[in-house]
Amino acid sequence: MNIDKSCTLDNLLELFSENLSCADILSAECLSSISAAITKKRLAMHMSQKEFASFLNVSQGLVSRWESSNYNFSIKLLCDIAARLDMRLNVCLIEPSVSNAYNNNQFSGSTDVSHSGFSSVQCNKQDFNNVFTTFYIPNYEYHTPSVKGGNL
Amino acid sequence: MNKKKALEELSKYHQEYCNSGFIFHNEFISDFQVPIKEVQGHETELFQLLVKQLTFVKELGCNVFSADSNEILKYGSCRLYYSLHLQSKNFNIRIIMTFYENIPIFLAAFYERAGKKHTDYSVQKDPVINRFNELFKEDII
Repeated sequence: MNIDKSCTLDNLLELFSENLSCADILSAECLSSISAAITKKRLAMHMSQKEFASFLNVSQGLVSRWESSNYNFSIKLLCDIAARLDMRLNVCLIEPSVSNAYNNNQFSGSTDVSHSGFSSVQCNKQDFNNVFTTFYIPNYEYHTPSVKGGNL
Repeated sequence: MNKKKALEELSKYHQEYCNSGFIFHNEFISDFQVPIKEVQGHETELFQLLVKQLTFVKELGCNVFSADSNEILKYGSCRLYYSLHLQSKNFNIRIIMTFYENIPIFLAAFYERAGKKHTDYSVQKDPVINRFNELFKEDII
């Protein structure tokens, strides 16, 4: 490849840096991940937007907006979508130190969710590859009966 | 988290698509500066739609055309080019890209002003193909 003629994604994102807040960047990443996951599921189900909308009991226009616009999903809607698609939804706020540890694969063990109290967090990094975004409450111990279909 | 770190994380997330990450022709970056200036006041909205399309490329690969409004462009060559739409009530921008050995290559961006339902992409055909050849001509030969 002729590197002299190419640029990277960093160069493109830099064009926006003056106009954005940190929250803008985080929301763009989160919302895009959700839209992509829903679209990917639709394609995996070999459905048109119309068929997918009917499956989810929503309008085709709404599905179109999920894919093409800056649709701001509510948690409740995401839960409804996840339930109908038999998918899992996790939402986490992560401390930077925890996020770094996750990225360095320092977590190990199984993922469990219960409401037994506030202690330490243990999770399997593999589980996080399947989520849109994740919520962490520091020192909250949570247990799921199983990886799929667990309750937060 | 500060803004710089957030942008780094966002870039890193998308660059995970493949070892080479996303490739942008120099002229694509120049192209894109024009709509950014023209959508003054709506940069955040444009950014969100751009990130959405980048995520679609990452998650859907060559099926990116299957997402709402995106298109395959038939430029008469063996290579498929894709038009990604960044469209709202405030602006209407198109990105033209392709894949080379599974690497997303972003070649051109322009503001769609005609207001037509179907964009005339013929004007971009030669520049897009020339830009691709500038990047990979030696590899192809």
